[in-house]
Amino acid sequence: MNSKESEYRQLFLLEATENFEELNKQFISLEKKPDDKHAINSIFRIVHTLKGNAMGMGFEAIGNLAHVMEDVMGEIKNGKLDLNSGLFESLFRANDKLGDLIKAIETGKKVSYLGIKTKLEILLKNNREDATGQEEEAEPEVHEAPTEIEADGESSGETDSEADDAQEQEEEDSQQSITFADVIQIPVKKMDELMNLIGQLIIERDRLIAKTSNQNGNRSEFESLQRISSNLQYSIMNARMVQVGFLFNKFHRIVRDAANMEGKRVDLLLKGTEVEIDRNILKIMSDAMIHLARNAVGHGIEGAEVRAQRGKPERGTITMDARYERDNVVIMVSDDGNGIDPSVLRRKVVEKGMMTKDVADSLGDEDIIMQIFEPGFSNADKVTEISGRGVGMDVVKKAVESIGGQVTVDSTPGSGTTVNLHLPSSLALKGALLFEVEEQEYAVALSYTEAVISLKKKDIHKLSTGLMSKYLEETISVVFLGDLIRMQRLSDIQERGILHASFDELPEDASLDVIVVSYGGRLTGLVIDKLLHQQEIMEKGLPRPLEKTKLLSGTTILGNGNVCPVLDVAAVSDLLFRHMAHAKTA
Amino acid sequence: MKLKVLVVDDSAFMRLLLSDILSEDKELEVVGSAADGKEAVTQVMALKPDLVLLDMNMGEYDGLYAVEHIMKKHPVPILILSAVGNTDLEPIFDALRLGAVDYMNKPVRNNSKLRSMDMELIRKIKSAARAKPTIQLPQTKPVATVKLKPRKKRTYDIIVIGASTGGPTAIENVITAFPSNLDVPVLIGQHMPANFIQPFVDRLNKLSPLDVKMGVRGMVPRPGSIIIAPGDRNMVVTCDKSGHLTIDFSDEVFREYNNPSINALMLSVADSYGSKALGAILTGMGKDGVKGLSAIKAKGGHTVAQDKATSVIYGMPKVAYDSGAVSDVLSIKEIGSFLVSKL
Repeated sequence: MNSKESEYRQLFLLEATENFEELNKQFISLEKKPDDKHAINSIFRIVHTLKGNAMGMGFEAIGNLAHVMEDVMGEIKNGKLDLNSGLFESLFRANDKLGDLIKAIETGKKVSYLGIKTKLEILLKNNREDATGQEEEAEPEVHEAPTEIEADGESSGETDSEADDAQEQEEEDSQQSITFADVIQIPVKKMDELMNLIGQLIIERDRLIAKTSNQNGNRSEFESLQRISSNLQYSIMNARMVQVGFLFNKFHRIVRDAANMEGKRVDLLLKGTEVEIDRNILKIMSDAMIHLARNAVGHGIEGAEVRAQRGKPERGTITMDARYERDNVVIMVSDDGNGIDPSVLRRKVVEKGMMTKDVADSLGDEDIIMQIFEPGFSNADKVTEISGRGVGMDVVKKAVESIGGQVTVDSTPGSGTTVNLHLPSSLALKGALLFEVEEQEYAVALSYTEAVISLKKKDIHKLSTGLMSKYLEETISVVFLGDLIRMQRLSDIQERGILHASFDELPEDASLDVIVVSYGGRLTGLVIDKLLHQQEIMEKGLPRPLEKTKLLSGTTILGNGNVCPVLDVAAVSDLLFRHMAHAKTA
Repeated sequence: MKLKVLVVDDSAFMRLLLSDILSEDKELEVVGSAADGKEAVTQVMALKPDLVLLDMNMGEYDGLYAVEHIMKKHPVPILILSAVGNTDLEPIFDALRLGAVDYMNKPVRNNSKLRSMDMELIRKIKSAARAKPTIQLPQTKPVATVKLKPRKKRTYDIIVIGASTGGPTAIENVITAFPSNLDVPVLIGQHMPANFIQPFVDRLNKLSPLDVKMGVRGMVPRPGSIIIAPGDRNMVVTCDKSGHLTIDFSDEVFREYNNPSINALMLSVADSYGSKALGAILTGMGKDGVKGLSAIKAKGGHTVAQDKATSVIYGMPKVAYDSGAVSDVLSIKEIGSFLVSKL
C-alpha cells in the first residue's frame, strides 16, 4: 500500500471511529426519547458523511449499509416512517454492524451485515409502496437488488474476497480457491539477525582481502565476492526500509487530540511521505516526533485571537516533511505559529540559571535557540497537560544523537518554527573516516564530517584555555584529539593548559591534518595524527562496563581484525562548547 | 494564474481527498479549507478564492448557510458536492437558487473509474469557475400568470427544453409559468448526475400543478405532462408500430454530451413533430442541443434561447444563437409565458 493510500486510510478510520462513537451516543438519546429531533437529524447527518467518505475510500460495505440507514433516517426525519421499537431495534443493530465493519478495516475480520441491510431495505420499500398507494407505473429497478452478495474487499486488501453472512445466505463457496498475498510479514527480530550476520560477513570479507593482498597483492580474485556481498548487504538494508508516511500518518490523531486539548484549530500537512528509512530508526524517532508535534501545537500555534491579529489563517498548520540529503534522511516538523524569539530565550536562559548573562549575550541566536534542547528547559508561559514542562525537547535531542543524527532549528519570530531531524537512513552501516591518534585507529561518521583540511601551527591561536582557527572565514574551535584522549576526567578540561599541551610541543613550522566536524551548526576542528581512509563501518554499542564512556559512541571491527572506537562527535562538540562558554565567564 | 479553490467539508478525510485530486491538475490550486459553513464564509473573505467547493451536510452551519452568506458578502462561483445516492436533494436545489453554480457527486472510488471521476470533477470546477454567480430571484408561489385560452387549432404540439449548468433553477422558472390546463406535453433534457434526476422530478412536481415524471420506455407524452430525461440514457421520442409517439432510449453516442443528450431528444422531436415543435435552449456549458434546435427550426418549428444576462453560463444559448438556430432570445423570466403564448 502506498503511503498516500495509507494516509487516507488512517484519516478515514479516525473519523469513522469518531462518527461511530457519536452515532452510539445519539442512538442512546433516541432510545430514551424516540421523537428527539436533534438525535434524528444528527444520525442522518453522520451516516450521510460516513457514506460519502466510505465511497471515497471504495469501502462499499460501509457505504452501502450507511446508505440504507441514511434512507431510513431520512424517511423518519420527513415524518414518512414511524420510529417504532421494532424499527429502532433494527437500526441499532445496523449501527452495531457499522461499527464492526469499521473495526474490520484494521482487523480484516469478516463481518456479516447483509441480513440487517436487506431487512432495512425491504422495510423501506414496503413503506414507500404503502405511501404511494397502488398505481405507480412500474417503479423500475434502479435500487440494487437487496439480495446481492457483496464482499468487503476493504477489510484489508490482502484477505479480501470474504463474502459473508453466515446466518442466512450460505453462499456458493463452491469454487473457492486459496490466494496468496504478494507480501509476507517478517518479525523485526529476524531482520535484525540477518543484518547482524551480513555485518559480520562483510568484516570477515575485508579481513580476508586485507590479508591476501598483503601476501601477494592480488585482489582481483575477490572482486565478485566483494560485489555480491555488498549487493546482499544493500538488499537486506533495503528490505528494512519503510516509508516515513507510515509514522507520519499516525499524527493525524495526535495533532487533533493535542489541538482539542488546547482549544486550537490545527491542520496537519504531510509531505515526502514516500521517503524511506530504516524501520528501527523510525521507531526510535517516534517518541521524539510526538514531543515535537505536541510542542508545535502547544507552544508553536497561537490562539485564535493572536492569529487573527497577525493576519494568519484561523487554522494553524503543522507540516511534516521528509527528504533525502546525501546518505541521510531529513525529517522536518514545522508550524506556522509563534516562532522563537532569541531575545526572550536569552532572558529565560539567564533566569533559569542555565548560564550567566555575559555568556548568554555572547552567544549567537542559533546557539541560544539550541538551548531549548537542554534538559529541563521550558519556554511556555503556562504549563499544559499536552506539552508539559519542557521535558521532551531534550528527549528529542537524545533520541536523534543516539543514532548518530543531528537536530537543527530554523525559526522566524512571529511566523513559525521548523525543527529538522537529520537522520541516517540506515542504522546498520555508515560511511566513516578512519584516522590515527597516537597509533590507535579511530573512526568518525561521515555524516558529521564537513571537510579535511591542513593547517599550519601559525594558523592556530590560543584563546583562553582553548584553541581557535579560521575555516572558510569562520572562527572554529580546534582541539588536539590526543589531548582529549589523555584526559583522566572530563572535568580536567578546565585545567589551564591541558588543551594547549600538544600545541605547545609542536615545532613552529608544523603542518597538521584537521578533520572539520559539524554538529548543531557548530564547526570544530579535530587535529589528528594521520588520516587513513574512508570506509563503511558497522558500529556496535560499547560493551559493558564501557557503555558509559563519554566521547565514544561505539566500536567497529576493521578488516585487519582490530577494534576501532568510533568518536562521538555530538559529545565532543558539546564538551568543547560548554568549556568555551565556561571559559569566557571565568 | 492558477484557479484558487477553497475546499469546504466537515470531514478532514474528504478535504484531503479533494485537495489531492485537485492538486493533480496544474491549473488548480487549493488555497484553503474550511470545516463548516461559517468558517467557509470567513475563508472566502480572507482568501478570495476563484471557486468554492462546498459540502452541504455540515452540522450547525451547513452549506446552505455558506451559500447564502457568501453570495451576500463576496459572491464567488460555488460548486456543490454531495454524497452519491442522496435521498434528500432539496437543500441542493435551494442552494442552486441561492446562487450556487453547479453541483456534482463526491468522488467515489472503485477499481474501474477512479480517474474518470476525478477528471469530471476538475472539468466541472474549471467550467463553474467561469460562471457568474447570481442569486436567482426567490420563487414566488408557483402560479402561472397566463391561463391558456381555448382556441380552435393549436400551432404547436410539443415543447422541448434543454439545459445544463444553471439549468435546474432556470427550468423551475420556466415550468412554473406553465398553466394547469397546458394541453401539450413538455420534454426536458437537463444535464445532471443520474441520481439527481428523481429528486429533481419530485421537486418540480411540488412546484407545478402539472404531472412531472421521469421518462420510462413506452411512456406516452400526454398533454399536460412534463417528462424529464433520466440521467443514465439518451431519451428520445419514437413512433411505435401502431403509429403512436412514445418515449424510448437511443443507443447512439453523441459527441457533445450523453445521458441525457439534448441533441438526441431534440433531433427526435424534430423528426416526429416536424413544424409542430417548440424548442428552448437554456443556460449551460458547451454546445449540446444546438444541432437539435437547428433541426427543429429547419423543420419549421419555433426556437428560443435564454439571454446572456440571465444565463449562469452563456454557452449553449450563445452557440445556438451564433449558428442561427434561434428565433427569439429571451430572459429566463419571459421564456415560460412566451412558450405558452406561442401555443
